[in-house]
Parts: sequence; structure tokens; C-alpha cells
Amino acid sequence: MTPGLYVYGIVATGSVPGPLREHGVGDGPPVLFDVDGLSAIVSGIDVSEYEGAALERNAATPEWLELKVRGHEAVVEGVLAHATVVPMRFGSIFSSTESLQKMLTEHADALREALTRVEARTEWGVKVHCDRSRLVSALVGSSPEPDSGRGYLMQKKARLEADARAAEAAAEIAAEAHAALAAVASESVAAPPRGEEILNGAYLVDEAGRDEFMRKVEELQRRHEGAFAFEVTGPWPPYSFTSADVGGPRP
Amino acid sequence: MQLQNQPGARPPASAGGGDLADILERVLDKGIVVAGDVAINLLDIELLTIKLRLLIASADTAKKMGIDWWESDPFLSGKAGSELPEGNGNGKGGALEERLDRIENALAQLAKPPEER
Repeated sequence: MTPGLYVYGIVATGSVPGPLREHGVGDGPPVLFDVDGLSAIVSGIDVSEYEGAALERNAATPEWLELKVRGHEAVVEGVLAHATVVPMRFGSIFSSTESLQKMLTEHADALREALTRVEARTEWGVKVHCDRSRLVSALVGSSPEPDSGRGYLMQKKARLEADARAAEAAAEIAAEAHAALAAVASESVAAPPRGEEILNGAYLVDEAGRDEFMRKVEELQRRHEGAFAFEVTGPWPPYSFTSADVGGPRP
Repeated sequence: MQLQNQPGARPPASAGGGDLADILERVLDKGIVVAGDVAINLLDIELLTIKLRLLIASADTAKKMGIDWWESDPFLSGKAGSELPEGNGNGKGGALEERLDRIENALAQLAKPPEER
């Protein structure tokens, strides 16, 4: 057993009311480690689980990663319900309280800046899925059943042309939706869409502006009913807006 | 893929109970990076993550196409040494080859200009 400190995120000291309840990646609930007005949310862990042959074994077990990742997220979300938190990436582990203290001291300014930037704001994810065949049908428009071979070929040609236009039309709608949502958010970022997604956006939204943001999503969904489905997730800790690397290079 | 017709938010109280793909996307790729002094081998984690993501993202699509490799992949199912699926008397290699042939043929068809199909 090699003891280590797993860090979930950083808060301002005193901003979290009461003890933490979620267990996270360790055996018990995490604790707060205070340095100069900043507090790290920390669990004592056995580092050997994350190293060498043990990690190889664990990495061959999706259940292990799911358990740890959900544990990490549960702790950060538990804190998010009460306080502003700068979430750390999965797997930020320190060997001793000395090294954790050193990190908090060295990066105090960047961490404070991040806390201020995300204060009273949460992250919302908006994905837009495109049903391509419905989009193509919509672009072709309604047409009667073809009553001749020629009519059939004409219809087939129209469909092929619509198919070629579909990607462009979907990209336009994705750009329009992202711009509309970014306008009611304090910060926004679009990650590369995957699969049938045409938009994978993250939006940092003021608590006071949450209703406006939701109304905007609903309005966009109504306008693009049919081929497009808007999926909202959140509130998330502001992962997408605190991605800066304030430490040294990671191994 | 489950499409929602109405926009709906995940309940705020989910505390890690949300969709795994969404959580992975954030917890593993984003969030502040303040390098700890314990070097965990992120390469192993990344390899697993890629597999998990593929699994999650493609499960529904792939199922529609009748591809169910992840259910028999010992890496993903965590059942190393389990029986191979769809023996068809020629083992996994033969079945995979057949499947690859089918996919390649389908792709070749799609690659042709419409009038040659």
C-alpha cells in the first residue's frame, strides 16, 4: 500500500457548508485541505491501484474505470450543489500533503482566477442530433407517388441532390444554434461532434440566466422540429471552462 | 441512439449518475490540469477510455447493423476466455472475415457514382 492524495477539485476555503458525503474514489468521504484561502477536495487513496501491473489489470476492467470516474464526478457534483468549484481532471494524485501544499501555493493565482470566472455559473451541455434521412425528406419536400418510370427517376434524382445538400444544411443549423446559445451564455465552446451529432456544445451559464438559456434551447428545438433533436445535460461542474493546464507537463 | 423530442435537463441531483459517455467526456478530457507528482500512466487509462467511448457511442448504431463484437470482446465484457460467438463451424476468424467482406462490398457500392450502382 502506497498512500496518496487524490484531488477532485478546488474551492474557496469556507465555501462548502458541512462535511462531504459522497465517497468518491477512496474508502470514505473526502476532506478539505486548506492552504491560504484555497481548499483542495481530497481523498486518501492507495496509489498502487493506479500504477504498474495493478493499473494494467484495472485498465482491463471497464467497471473499475466507471466506478472511479463516477466517484470523481459524484464528489464534484456534491460540492457544486453548494459552492463554486474548479474541477480537476481525473487522476490528479499527490504523494504527500507537502507536494499538494506546494501545488496550491504555486498555482494560487491561476486557481483563484478560475474560481472567480466560474462563480455563480454552471456548465450546460447541448448536443444536437440529426436524423439524416428525415432531413433529406424535408429538403426534397412532399411529392406524389411517382406514376411512371420517369417520375420515379426524377424523384430519385431529387433525393440524391437533397442528400448532397443535407450536410451543408445541418452544418448551418449547428452554427446557428451554437451562436444563439453562446449569446445567452458567458462563455461557450464547441467540441467535435460524434456520430449523428451535428453540435456538441458546452455553455457556461449564469445561475440567473438559466431560464433564459433553457427557453432558447426550447425555441431552437421548436424551430427545427423533425430532423433535429436537442439534448441538454447539466448542470455540470465547469469542466469545459477550466481546461487550462496550470501545472507542469503531465507524464 | 435515443433521441429526445423535447429538450430536457438531467436532474441536478444526479451526482455522478448521469450518462457515462457524457461524464467520461468531461472528467477525462477536461477540468483543470495541475499535474500531481504521482505519475499515473494515463496511456493505459486513455486506451481503455477510447474503447469505452467507442462502445458507448456505437452500441446502438452497431446493433442496428447486427454487429455485436463488444459483447464477446473479452477486454470489454471482462470475461476473458468466454465462448466465441457465432461459431458457424469456422471460428471467429472466419466469421469476422465474412463480415469484413460484406462491409467492404457495401462500401465499394457506396463509393461508385450513383449511375453505376
